[in-house]
Amino acid sequence: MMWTMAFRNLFRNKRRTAATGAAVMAGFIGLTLLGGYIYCVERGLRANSIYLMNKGHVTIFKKEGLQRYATKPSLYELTPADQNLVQEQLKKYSENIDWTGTALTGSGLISNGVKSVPFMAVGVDLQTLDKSLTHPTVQEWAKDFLTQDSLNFVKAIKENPDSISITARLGALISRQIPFENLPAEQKTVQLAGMNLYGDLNAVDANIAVSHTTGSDMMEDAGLLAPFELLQNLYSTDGAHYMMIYLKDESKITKMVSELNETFKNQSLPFDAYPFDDPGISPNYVGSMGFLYAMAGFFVFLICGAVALSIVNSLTMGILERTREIGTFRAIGYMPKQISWMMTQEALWLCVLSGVLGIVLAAIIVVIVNGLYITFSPPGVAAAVQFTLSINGTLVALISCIFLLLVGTTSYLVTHFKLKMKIVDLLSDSGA
Amino acid sequence: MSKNIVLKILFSSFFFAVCFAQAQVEMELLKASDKARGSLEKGLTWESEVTTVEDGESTIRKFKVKATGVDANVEALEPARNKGEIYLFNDRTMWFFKPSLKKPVAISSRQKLTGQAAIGDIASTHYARDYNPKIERIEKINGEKVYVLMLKAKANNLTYDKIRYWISDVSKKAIKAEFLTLQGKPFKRATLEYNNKVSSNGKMVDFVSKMEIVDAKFKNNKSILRYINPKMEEHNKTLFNINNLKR
Repeated sequence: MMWTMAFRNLFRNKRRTAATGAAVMAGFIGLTLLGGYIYCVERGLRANSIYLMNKGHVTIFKKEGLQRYATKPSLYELTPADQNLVQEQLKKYSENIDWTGTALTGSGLISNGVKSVPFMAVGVDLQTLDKSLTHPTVQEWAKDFLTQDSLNFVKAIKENPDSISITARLGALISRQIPFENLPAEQKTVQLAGMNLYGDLNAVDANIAVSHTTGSDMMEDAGLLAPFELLQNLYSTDGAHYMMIYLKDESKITKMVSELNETFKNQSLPFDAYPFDDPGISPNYVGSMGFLYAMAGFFVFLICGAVALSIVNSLTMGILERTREIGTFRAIGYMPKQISWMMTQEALWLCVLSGVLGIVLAAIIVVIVNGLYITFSPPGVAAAVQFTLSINGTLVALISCIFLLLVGTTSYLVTHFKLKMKIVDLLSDSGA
Repeated sequence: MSKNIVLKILFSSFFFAVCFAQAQVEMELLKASDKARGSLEKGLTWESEVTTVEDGESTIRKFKVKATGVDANVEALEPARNKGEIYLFNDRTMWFFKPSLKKPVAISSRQKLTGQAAIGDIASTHYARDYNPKIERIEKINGEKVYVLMLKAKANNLTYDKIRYWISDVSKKAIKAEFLTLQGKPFKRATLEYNNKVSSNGKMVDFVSKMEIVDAKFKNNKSILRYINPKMEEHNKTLFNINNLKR
């Protein structure tokens, strides 16, 4: 009965109801789209970091190897014996492990036979490269991050294990212009030189196969991707800088990292496990998400504030107009609590209707925006990616709960304080 | 008025003549010290043993150095894994080659080779060619008059930007050096000994026998370069031709 009456009351002042409803709806659309955008970006950057940047869900380093490997690689590399020890510890997680990989990083000089320029290299095992590029998560969330060059690189390594990929700017520094695929065979051959783990200068022949971009302007003059074995040969090692663990169930990352570190500590094993979202592992992911979460927090505050103020304004006006009516309700025996609840129900009705309309409008906006195929280049990502919006069910449910709670609480509190007047005063109020 | 101008001209000429003479003296000192470190017009051959101590770990490497003028061919002898590797110096250009490479690699003088010793330290030294000297002060070491020279790099691709160099007035040989950062702070210190002899123009002259380079910050990290069996030897020009290194 009360709910029906509350619903009917919405139509008593249609203009005000529409204005308040529009404010709630705009807030709902704003939060839904903002949340949907952040969700899409998070999933994309996560897939990029885990699969395309080859960090894995969990990364294992020699103890302090994350910070100190570059200064003393021989001391902080994961030797084959170390890798076996880690694999032993991973056996108990075998059901959730998709696969494990190894990576090697280093610096040196790339030479065209006339001049040499510095490079920063990353070498990842072929299995990881191959599986990562075709992984369903990448196909679903990070398809834009995937370039044809990445796919060509894997193909090139399979054909020639000395194949490397360098950035266009690094190529230009050694007088090699993109597309590298079109270079004559003689120009494709270059030499990589670097200090090996014994502290000696070493060099290997390599074959420029494709180009890539690092997504970081700072790294564009030096980016080099090489097969894991080629870098092992260059740095005269059979070890690796780090191991990557790829999981089937992403929700168990934190638990696994915590358990692994506990095991390493208890068994005095010199290793450190890191989740992919550690700032030292995926600085771009952490930086971008930190910025987005801060921005989202600010917008949530603004939107919720605007919605709450609209409700306060609307209800205050309603109470002022309906003072005598409220007085009559009180006179025939309604308790202030009941009247407050009825007016709260009116606000909740408005919130539900605005929310439903908001979801429909948000869905239309999502279809239009995604259809426009707007692209942009986020930091740390190789290629321009599509500005994608989505509507996430969990997020909509969460936003609905927040709005219902916000609207309900605001309206109950406003009416509760306004209804403290005496019945006589309410009945004699002029409404001014 | 005209008298004043004449005096000014005379004074300026005298001043520039003194400066020029001073610069000549500084350069002559440097050239003389370079001779005892392999900068001879005629061919010279020696073996270089580099003992590196870094973070408590010690390694020994051996090289055969063949130098003529500004060219040098440095061949790695030990350890076995490095055997056959060659560093070729053509004036200021430096190359690295190993038999498995299709082409040699051009490397910067700054590319560290082993421990505290840079590639430039192992080959012959041409500080007179690469640096502008200026006498900073004169010191007495063990009762001997020693010039302290500040050497500033003529080009920006040299192993070191600045070197403080102690040259004995009597022997005209460098006895110690400080390799400085761009800010002028020492990051490596070296001491030199001259117990070798080589024959030059029919005369036996002293030649460097040991150079100890110590990290200025971590004093336990050091490299000791021993110059073994130096001898005058004519070298075929093809030895220094980069094209002969290609596969």
